[in-house]
Amino acid sequence: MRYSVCNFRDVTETMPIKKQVYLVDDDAAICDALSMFLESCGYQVETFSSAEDFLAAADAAINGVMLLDQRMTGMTGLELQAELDKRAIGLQIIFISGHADVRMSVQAIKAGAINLLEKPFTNEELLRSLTEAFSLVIEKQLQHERFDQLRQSFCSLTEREKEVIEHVVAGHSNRQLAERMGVSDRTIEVHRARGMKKMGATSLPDLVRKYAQCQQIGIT
Amino acid sequence: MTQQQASWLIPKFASRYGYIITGVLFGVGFVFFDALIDVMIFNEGTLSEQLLHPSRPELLMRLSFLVLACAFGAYAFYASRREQAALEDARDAESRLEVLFDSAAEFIFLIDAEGVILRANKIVFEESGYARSEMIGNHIKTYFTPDSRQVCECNFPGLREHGYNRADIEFVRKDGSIINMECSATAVEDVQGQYNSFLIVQRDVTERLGAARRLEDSERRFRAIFNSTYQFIGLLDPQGTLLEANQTALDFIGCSNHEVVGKRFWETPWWQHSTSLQTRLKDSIAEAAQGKLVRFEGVHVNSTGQKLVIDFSLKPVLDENGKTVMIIPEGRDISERKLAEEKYRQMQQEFAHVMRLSTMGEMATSMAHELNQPLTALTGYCGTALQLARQQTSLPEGYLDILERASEQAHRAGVVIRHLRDFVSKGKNEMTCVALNNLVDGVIDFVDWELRDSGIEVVFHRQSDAHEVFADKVQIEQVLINLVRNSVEAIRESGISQGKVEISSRVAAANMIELRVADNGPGVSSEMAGVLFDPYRTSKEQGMGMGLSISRSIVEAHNGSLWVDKERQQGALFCMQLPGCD
Repeated sequence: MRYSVCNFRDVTETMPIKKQVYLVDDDAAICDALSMFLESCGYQVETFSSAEDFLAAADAAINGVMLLDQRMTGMTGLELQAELDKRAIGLQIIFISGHADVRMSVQAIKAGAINLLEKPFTNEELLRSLTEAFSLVIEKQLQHERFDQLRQSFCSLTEREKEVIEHVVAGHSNRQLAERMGVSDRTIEVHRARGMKKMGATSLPDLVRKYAQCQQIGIT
Repeated sequence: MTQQQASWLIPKFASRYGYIITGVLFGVGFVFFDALIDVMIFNEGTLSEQLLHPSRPELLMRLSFLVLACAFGAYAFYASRREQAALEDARDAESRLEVLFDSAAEFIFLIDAEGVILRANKIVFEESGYARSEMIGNHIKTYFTPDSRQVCECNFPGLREHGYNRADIEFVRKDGSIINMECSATAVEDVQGQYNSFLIVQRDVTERLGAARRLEDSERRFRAIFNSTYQFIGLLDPQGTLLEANQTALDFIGCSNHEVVGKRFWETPWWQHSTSLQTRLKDSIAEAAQGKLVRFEGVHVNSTGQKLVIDFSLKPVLDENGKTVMIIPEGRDISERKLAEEKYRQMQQEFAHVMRLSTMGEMATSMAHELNQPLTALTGYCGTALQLARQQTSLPEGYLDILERASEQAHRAGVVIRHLRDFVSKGKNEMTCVALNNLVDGVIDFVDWELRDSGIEVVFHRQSDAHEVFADKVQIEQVLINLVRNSVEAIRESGISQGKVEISSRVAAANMIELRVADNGPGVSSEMAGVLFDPYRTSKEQGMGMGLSISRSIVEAHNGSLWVDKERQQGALFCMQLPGCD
């Protein structure tokens, strides 16, 4: 046996995640063959015969990887990609194309596609790309969860604590803070300790990093 | 003459002085007459005795005088009568001459040695409008034009020398109009044999000169046409001897007339570069001599060594009996036309070549796509089969291997197709900065050949600022030709009388140049608009349905786009955007 088909070791196997694949191709045989194959490899596959069909069924909450044909009657793959971006539907996209020229590939990748597979691709190539895509899905999911947690922590802070942490992160000492806010050093210390605990920060640099992340995702 | 005059001296003398002499003689005779009476009456003896008597000699003398006087008187009478008759004769002749002189149709002048008019005949005054008093005594040159005066002065010495001369002069009437006259002058000799007067006879030749001049003018005009026409023209006798060749033909070989006239035409420098052409010409002349028009093309070399294609013909000129009397050889330089034809043919070949390549490329692309789909499905099915097979415990020997090989071969087929497609569609792409105005001009030149007499007008709304696109010129030309041709064919089929195709360009967003081809044809139907660019779709009976599909492929390969404007109400509008050259 020269190669085995489904035995890729990857993060997805260790993660409890639904491996959802959306296959959009106007060729019925391809939909049939690929969905059959991918299902045999443990993926959940949903097929659509056109971009319009997919858009009709899709909502912002869906998650997973999309196998997308570029050349279709009606809306093309690139057009669907742009539309998804517009609707903030966060899918990882792998293009599958009958003839991929450089220009089209560049455009697809620039717009955030993971890969572009030229038909006919080997099953190995397909699975490798899917694995890569799902690792990104998971990473994104993890990040998403991390951000959720961060958001929750930040929201649990009182107004006073938020104010104190803001100044701490800006580099002010407790004394400076106390003078400015007209309270005792001790009060500041209590707020600061409580805030750090709520944010789950173990040290000042950890607090700074978490606060920066909050700023990044726009909570502050 | 002198002798004759001398012999007349005596009678002339007699006629004038005869009577006086006779009177004197009688007088002398009568003085001595009484003595004679005396003798006759009183003397004895016979009269003769007494007269001859020696003692009286005076008697005989007296008698002699009387007799002499009688004789001389008679002669004088005779002579005077004769002269009278002669004078009358002369007067008659003079008056006859006068009549003749005045009734002559020519101008007749008698002038003296200096040229002063002594006499002139009646018609001079009638014709010229001058009165007798205005002319007589004036120099004859007064009545000539300045040119003629000069002619007159030049000829006068000759006239004096030889006694005769003639010249054409222009006589000016009193009203200023001019009579062309042929003038002949004859010297009139005087007694001493000197020419001291001249008889000038002038004949009105205005009519004759006019005819001659018209002939001359017509000849000159004919010569001008003959010599300055662009064509090479000559004249041959039926045996092929060159009688004439025009200047254009002579210039072609750099020869003068006398070097070629009289030679056999095929031996002249026009034909010497090719023996086969010489033979052909010889045969053709023989054919033309039979009354046939012969025409053939040949390559000739001019005096600068340039090779030119000449359309040559031999046209026989027949007399009323149908016999060939002359042959007119004629040559036209058709090198430029040949060149243009050649260029057009080449362009068409190139077009066909590009079209073929594009068609192959497009077919390969569409075939690759069509084949890759099932191959992809095949690979998928094989993969599934492998998965399922692997879960089985008892499988025939090599079963998995076979499935794997099947999958591999499907993939290989894909690679083969890809290589084929790459090979065909690669072609030779020569991407450069192309001035759009030049490109469109070239296309219009090209289609103009086909649009002659079609009544369809192709207009280019030229932009003053020269747009440049980054493109393979030949390929974009093909696309544009294709679009224009589509428009033209659509107009033709719909039978619209004043067909018009308009090409314009503008700068579109983001450094893209847009080229628009609009027509006033029937336009694109809405159901056709959706599939217009798909391969094998066509509304034309003879179309392959590849044109627009290929065009779009070409434009897309240039990172551009090609579409039909679906909003347009009247006619069709195709837009092509290409990246600008910045």
